[in-house]
Amino acid sequence: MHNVVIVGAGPAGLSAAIAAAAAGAPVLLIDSNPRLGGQYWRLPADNFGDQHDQHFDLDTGLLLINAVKDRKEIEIYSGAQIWSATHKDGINTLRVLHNGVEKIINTGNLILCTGAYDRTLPFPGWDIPGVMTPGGVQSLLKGHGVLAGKKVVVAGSGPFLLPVAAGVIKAGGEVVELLEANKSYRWLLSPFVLLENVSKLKEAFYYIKTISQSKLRARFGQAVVAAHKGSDGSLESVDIATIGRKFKVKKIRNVKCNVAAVGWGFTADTSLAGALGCKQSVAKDGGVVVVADQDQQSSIPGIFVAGEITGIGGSELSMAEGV
Amino acid sequence: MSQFNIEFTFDGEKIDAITGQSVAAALLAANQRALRKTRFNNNDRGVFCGIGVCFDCLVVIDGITNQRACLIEAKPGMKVQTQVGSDA
Ligand SMILES: Cc1cc2nc3c(=O)[nH]c(=O)nc-3n(C[C@H](O)[C@H](O)[C@H](O)COP(=O)(O)OP(=O)(O)OC[C@H]3O[C@@H](n4cnc5c(N)ncnc54)[C@H](O)[C@@H]3O)c2cc1C
Ligand code: FES
Repeated sequence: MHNVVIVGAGPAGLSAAIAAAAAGAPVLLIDSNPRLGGQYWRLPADNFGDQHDQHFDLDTGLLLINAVKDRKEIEIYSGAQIWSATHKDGINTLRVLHNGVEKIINTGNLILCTGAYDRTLPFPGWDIPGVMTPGGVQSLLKGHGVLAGKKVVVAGSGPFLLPVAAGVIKAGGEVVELLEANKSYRWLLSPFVLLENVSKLKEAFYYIKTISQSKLRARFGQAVVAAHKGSDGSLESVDIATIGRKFKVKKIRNVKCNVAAVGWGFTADTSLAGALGCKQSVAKDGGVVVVADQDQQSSIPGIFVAGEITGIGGSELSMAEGV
Repeated sequence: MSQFNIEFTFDGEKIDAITGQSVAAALLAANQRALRKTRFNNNDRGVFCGIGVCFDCLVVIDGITNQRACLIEAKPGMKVQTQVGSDA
């Protein structure tokens, strides 16, 4: 029986692991990625060399990752997929596939830091190879050093489009369009960003600087409404429309590209928490999240939740919640 | 950036990769964007989420079907094939 088991090795899970180990508890940290860091600090194999170019604040991540690796109290299962989770009489049972072997793990103290993934909305042609999520384009770059295509359209809504566009530019790709469906970067001025997340604002301007050093100009109130394939069956162009009042859509142009990264923010990965029976609710942004009290405890005693799984707030909030 | 140091095949064709890259990343770098064909209508599908969530990138690896190309690390000598339908 493990004292504390943590699922997810992103900003929240890493911080939680350090805090638990510092309190003297033996910790098991499980993540399906081959390396620690989660979505924000997604890293390629060591042979890829320095990665600062693809990251805004890699140093904090490396510090946390190395601190976790150094602590003898923390056992790590990387590349381990949890495929079943059950809860009975205060004991949580996880079934994990690790290095081809199934392991059964029991614990009274479970911390879920499973994070989030891209929110997508279907449109005609969204299943053509070349249409991807912004997160997919970024993870190929950050995790594998691969640019998904030379001519990229980045579209949808929210601050995450900025690092994706900046990453493509830094890797030598061309962002042919950067489209924010809102009328402006309104979220930059929202009280949430300004008051709770001042350094996120700094981060946004860091990406905007990279973007504006290229010829690219973001366009507002526009979105990708259809994708078309070429003779090879893969993406060749997208239709772009203006979004007027009452969501009135008017097609204005067709743009050639071989990748369209289209996303509408993130949605929490509540699958494990849901399987265990933790109470969920609908957040302000319309997404489903896991309910947590001020101690980050879920509706089930002994199951704690931290990070993006409790609401979308970015890497720093995730770190703070993990502690 | 590091250099290609491993080789595997996709439908018999040689693909170069770097240690630590996923099968999907190496295939995209080689401009191979279609990874499977759908059960109905044989439509092409490729990488969509890139992080193991959507199951759109399924391929056959060394005879085993339904492998997520975006999660599996490329290994020398792997035989990767387009998955057609569920290929069971
Ligand atoms: C593709 C992608 C890119 C992002 N990039 C940025 C960015 O550039 N800037 C930014 O501010 N925010 C980014 N985000 C938002 C990001 O969610 C937060 O910033 C932050 O990483 C959240 O931290 P976290 O610890 O809650 O979860 P995450 O960092 O998402 O970590 C969760 C971890 O849990 C693991 N996991 C989940 N379920 C299981 C399971 N069943 N079994 C085993 N392991 C599991 C996942 O593999 C993952 O490593 C990104 C999100 C995504 C999806
Ligand atoms: S691309 Fe979504 S699971 Fe592989």
